[in-house]
Amino acid sequence: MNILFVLIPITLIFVVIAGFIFFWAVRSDQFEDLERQGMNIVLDEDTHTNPEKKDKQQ
Amino acid sequence: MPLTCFHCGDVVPEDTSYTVTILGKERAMCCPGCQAVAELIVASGLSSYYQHRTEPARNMSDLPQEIADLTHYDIDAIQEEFATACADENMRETVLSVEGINCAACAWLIERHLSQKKGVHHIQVNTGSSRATLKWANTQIKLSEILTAFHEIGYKAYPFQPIEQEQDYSKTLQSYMRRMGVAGLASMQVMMYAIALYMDIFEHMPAEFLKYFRWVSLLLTLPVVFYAAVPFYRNAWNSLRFGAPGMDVPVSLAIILAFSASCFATMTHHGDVYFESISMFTFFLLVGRFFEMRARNKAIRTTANLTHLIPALATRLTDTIRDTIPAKHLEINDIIEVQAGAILPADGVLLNCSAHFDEALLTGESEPRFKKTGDTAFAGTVCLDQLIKIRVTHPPKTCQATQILFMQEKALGAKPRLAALADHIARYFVVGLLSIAAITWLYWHWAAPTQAFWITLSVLVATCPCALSLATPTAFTCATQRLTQHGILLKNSHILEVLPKISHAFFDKTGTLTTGKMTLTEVQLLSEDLSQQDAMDIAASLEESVNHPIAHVLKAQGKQKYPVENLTHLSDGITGTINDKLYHLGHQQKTNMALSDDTSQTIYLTQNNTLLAAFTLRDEIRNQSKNLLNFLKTQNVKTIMLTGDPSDNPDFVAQHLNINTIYKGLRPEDKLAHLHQNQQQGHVSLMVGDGVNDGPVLAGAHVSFAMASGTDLAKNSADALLLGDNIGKISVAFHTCKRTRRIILQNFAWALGYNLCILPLAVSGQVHPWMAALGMSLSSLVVIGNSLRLLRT
Repeated sequence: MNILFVLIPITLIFVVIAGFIFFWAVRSDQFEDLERQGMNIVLDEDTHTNPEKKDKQQ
Repeated sequence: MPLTCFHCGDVVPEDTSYTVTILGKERAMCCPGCQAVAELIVASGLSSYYQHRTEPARNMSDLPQEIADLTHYDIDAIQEEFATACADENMRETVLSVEGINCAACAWLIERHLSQKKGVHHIQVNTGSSRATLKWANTQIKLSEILTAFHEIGYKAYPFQPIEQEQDYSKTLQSYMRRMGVAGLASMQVMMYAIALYMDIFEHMPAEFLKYFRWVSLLLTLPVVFYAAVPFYRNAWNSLRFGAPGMDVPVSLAIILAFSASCFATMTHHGDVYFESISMFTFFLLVGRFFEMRARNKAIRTTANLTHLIPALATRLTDTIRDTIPAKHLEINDIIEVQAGAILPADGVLLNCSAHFDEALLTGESEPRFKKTGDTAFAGTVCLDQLIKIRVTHPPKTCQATQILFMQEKALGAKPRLAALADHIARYFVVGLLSIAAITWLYWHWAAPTQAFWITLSVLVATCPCALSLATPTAFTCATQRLTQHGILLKNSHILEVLPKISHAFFDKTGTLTTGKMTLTEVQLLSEDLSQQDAMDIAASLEESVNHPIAHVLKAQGKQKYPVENLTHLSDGITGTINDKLYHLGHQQKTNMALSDDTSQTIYLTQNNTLLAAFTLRDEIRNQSKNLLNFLKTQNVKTIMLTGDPSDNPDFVAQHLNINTIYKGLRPEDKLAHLHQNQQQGHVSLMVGDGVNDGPVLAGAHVSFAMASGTDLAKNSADALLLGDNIGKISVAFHTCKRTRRIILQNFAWALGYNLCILPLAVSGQVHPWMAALGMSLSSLVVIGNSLRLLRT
């Protein structure tokens, strides 16, 4: 059971990291428009299959 | 089955053929505008837009000629108003308001298309609020080029400044989210350790682990108590300062006392700890507050997308040099030029010209006013006929529209607030709780002094202000959500409590009770020399270059196929020559024919003094207006009309809708005066309006609704928006508010009941920390579950 003395501080480090990541996400407005960001995955997928078209545009 | 445009969904006109190949098939387009946009989208490799969009795009046939004007936004003096420079000197940032975003795919399309432009560093589009944040390198690309890029794919974007209230809300929301995250993370961790500590009851845990867990819990609860819960302390302190303890007082007390006691227990190794209860308290309450705020934020953002009430730019003439300057730099006696169809940037006197002005923005009346040389025209009105020059009498700071704005802000500050039910209960609860806690302490101090403090603490924690605090916010959030689904956007939650209490309802006429748009209802032929269609074609041809609302209606009905010469504008209409015949189209009181009812206006077409035809135009009353007014009657609410229209029209509308009282020909100050008079008599008032002149009344009434198609000032001043202009929805709001009140009362009953049950247990020292935590979670869940019932019909 003594292992807990080591495990708990490790957990705390992870919690702190998670906290910072959450703060960063809030600051970069990632929670602004949840619906839309979800759609990004669906929409973006198709552009990757048209790299030639994009090159032509450039 | 008519062919519809693949891009915007409008009907494709016959004998046109615009097509674009999208996603492998040829698609029909309705006009060159839509075709151009569609081609660009496909060429940029963005056709997934068409695959995944959920709404059709905007019709592109009326592409504005504002593109040339966009270069004005590059002028530094003007850009300073809305853009901010970044740390890197060449980069600038701004917020853009974007028109035409209908669904998530639109936002994606804009972001992808604009990211392809060199110099655009960052662009993020928000579907819900129709905003885009833009960061660009000013040396590589000009703002006007970026705005043109929006136009290319069919959207209108312009820079704007979010109003202060909205900026505050965004910041507050983010701050709540951060605190919520901290409380959430902490709660989860502390709960785990707490369960270990609970197990101590069943199997004795070695002392060093006990100490260890307690210290770790303390550490994790520190950010909760000193960061996440701070808004509660602030609110509690403010409410105490004003002598009316609010819901946050028991919450703050419980958190602070429980934390201090638990710290003490940890350091002295005896007594119970309540760290998990504190963290969970805070987390639940923050979640409740957060959702409530977010529901309100959405409505506020939707209304804050400002087109400029007063335009940002003005064209000043100084000794024949034409200068484009920000409107706020105008001074008295400057001479400015205003194009036909443009909004006036300042109040001024007409110089050597005359024209019709659409003053709908100020008076709400769609009938344009004719002004000649020497008359004053007002900022915010639209010049209809031709280019005019005016000498400024009131720059934007002091012009009439701004004065109405001040009036509105003042009325908002003086808006009467009925005390919320929750505040009443909070007051009694605080007093009750503190007395009971004091009595408990006194008793135990006499009976078993070592236990006194811990038992008193458990009384404070177990009586869980949590459920009580969640009772109202959860109900409000669910009610707001439900109303949003019905098309009513709430900006304030107090409306939910006040709406059922109103005794008087005030209505604006044009645009609120009526549609505000003219429609052609009747065409009467008064001569046998021509057919009805001919008459309409002649009228349409005469009105071809006229920018009058009546002209638009006539142009829609007839074909503009006759060339007109010598078109002249008169005060009551226009004259022109077609095929060498002189025609006059306008108001004429020469006939004694009883043509129509009074909501109409009649336009006569005459040729050389012979009446040819009469066109009857009407501003139609909305169908739902009658339903709403009947409903209000059943609720014993007195109805009053406040309108700027001085004619007979209001009497007719009032009669048709059974309105109790009418006041007509009112200016904004008069409307506000009537409202204040009513309020001083102690009545609770509702106001529904849409125009700038309704702004002050909307701000000052107890409860107010604005039409979604109304002016921005009206929408900003009101407590709620009616989407789709469905005025009948107000009766739905009534019902929902009544249900909400019932649910809130049930919530309070449950929360108080629970407290009463657990109180004896706590006072007699039977409540362990795990029971306190469990009781709090369960009672909160019950309250939340009950409030969720509001989401169903």
